[in-house]
Amino acid sequence: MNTKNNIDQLFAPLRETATDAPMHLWPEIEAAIAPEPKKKKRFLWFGLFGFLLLAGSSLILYAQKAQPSSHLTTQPIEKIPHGDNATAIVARQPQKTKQQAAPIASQSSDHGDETIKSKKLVTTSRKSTFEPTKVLPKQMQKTTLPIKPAAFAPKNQEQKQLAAPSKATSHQSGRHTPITHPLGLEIALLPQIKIDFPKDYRNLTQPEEKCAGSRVIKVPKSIFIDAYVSPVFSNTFFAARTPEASSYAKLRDSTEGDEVGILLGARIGYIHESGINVRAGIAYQQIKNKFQYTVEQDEKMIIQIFRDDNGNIIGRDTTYEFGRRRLNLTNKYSTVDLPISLGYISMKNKVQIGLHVGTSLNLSFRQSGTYLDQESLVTKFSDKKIFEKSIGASFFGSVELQYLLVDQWGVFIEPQIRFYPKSLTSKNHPIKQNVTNFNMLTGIKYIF
Amino acid sequence: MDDRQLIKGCLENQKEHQKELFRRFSGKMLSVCRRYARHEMEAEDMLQDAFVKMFRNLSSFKFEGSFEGWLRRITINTAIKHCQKKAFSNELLGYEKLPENSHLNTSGAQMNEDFLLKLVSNLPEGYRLVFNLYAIEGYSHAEIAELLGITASTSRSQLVKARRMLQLRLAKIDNYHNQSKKKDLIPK
Repeated sequence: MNTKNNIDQLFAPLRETATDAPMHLWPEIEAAIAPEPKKKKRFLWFGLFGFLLLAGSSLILYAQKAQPSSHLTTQPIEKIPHGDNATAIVARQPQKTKQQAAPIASQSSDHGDETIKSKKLVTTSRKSTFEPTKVLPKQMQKTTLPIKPAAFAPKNQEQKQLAAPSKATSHQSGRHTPITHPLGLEIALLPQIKIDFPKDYRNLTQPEEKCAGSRVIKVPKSIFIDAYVSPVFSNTFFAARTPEASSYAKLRDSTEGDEVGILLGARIGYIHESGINVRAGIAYQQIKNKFQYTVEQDEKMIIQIFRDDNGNIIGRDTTYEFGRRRLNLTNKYSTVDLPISLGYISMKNKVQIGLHVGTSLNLSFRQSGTYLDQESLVTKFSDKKIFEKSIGASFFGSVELQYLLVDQWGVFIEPQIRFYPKSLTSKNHPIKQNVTNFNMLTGIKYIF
Repeated sequence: MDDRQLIKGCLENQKEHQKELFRRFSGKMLSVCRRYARHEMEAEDMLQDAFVKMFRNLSSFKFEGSFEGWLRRITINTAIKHCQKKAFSNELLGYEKLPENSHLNTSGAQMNEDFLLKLVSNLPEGYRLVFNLYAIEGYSHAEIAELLGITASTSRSQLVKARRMLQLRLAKIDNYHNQSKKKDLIPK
């Protein structure tokens, strides 16, 4: 009993023992408890950026589609004789089936000569969608509207002014051939004159507007060369290979933040008539991230050199200062890759839009920078070999938007997302380091 | 700044408060961990896990008892889990490491904390856990049984063996010390 008490009493003081606070453990604990919404937010920004790009490209395409080609705007209204002295304005037959066209024809015939009640002519900048119809099909002929000669005669001063083409409008429509009405009213600028038809006739023109300029042009078979540059928005993920390394992964994640890098490249490609294309090239990429860390107890060596009046060294004094050191260093990961892609291109007027998927084969992978090792010591990449010699293949997807400037030259913009399935770090290292990049390729294209 | 203010700051994710809390208690808790760990690295691992656990569950501290007592319980539980995960295999293999420098600083007055800690650290895993919990932390056998997932009688028998082992080692060291003294007395 006595022995028992003695032993217990001998060891009891151990309960109150305390050592110095192991502050070198704090960075890892701080990293482990730090909230981590940062990357999610960054992904949201990337998503938003991508969405805006797609929306922007769609808008450009839509604008291109809505803009009619020049030959459509210069077409005069077909003038056909109707009766002895009458002129008929013919609305071009819309691309409709007979079933669709039939009621229109009947409507027009129902209206007869009295159909056009509004004789007001309105000058407008809106371009007409009328087209000449040299051979009028039967359905078409039924839709001709006989107009009384007096119908277009301006009755008062206001109407005369409206009917008369202004200088500006005549300049715009310089290629128009004036058509002189037997009664003297010039309707030369009819593409700029909106006739206030009854609703049924106005509807006739609407399908035309939709058709104007919206045809997809067959992509010509060609070979091209691209040269491009891009900012690289990288996203680095640190993941533990074992559960024990999870806090170390968090520590690395908290001390290394992504920065904008750069990508340069050139490629050659071939477009088939079907729109399918292949591209291959070479690219240099520099992924950057920022290493930020505070060394709590660091020393700074200060060497003072004393010189005499002649500049000769007469003494040295070395002192040490102890304190915190804030490290703010840039890490660089450089790669040389061979990107190969397969895609599909669609062409509308001068604009091409393409979708591409591909792979990049890594030829060279180099790193320079600093990181925290497992003992929380600031270590240079060159001191320990923690990276793979090659990062293998990466995969990418992109949307290309190209505009042809002149015959053989074009510019393009291509948002691209690239994923590296292989970890940058070697298998012996306790954490994986994976990268996903978002690039915005901007470049010039020469088509042979 | 008292503990209460510090804890409130930590709950608001203020880094300076978190750091200060660590600075204030980590020394004591590292001593706790050292008694359960086989070496310094393992003690630091235990401490780190314990503090991470504490910060993540700080909102469950209701200011009803002492914060140090609450943190100590977390630390002990974490240390026990570490031991159960890694170390029992050594005990099953009969692995037992004697103090490397047990002949040093052993004179009665020099039985300092470090030396005692070494003696405890070199007990076999099961003995060490029970001895630590009973003799140093003041847990009952019932509590130890619940914590370690053993019966109370096993806890008792482990404690008896642990005491006996410590006693034997102390005796050995004492003998060695006495012999050294005698050698010094023999005229050369």
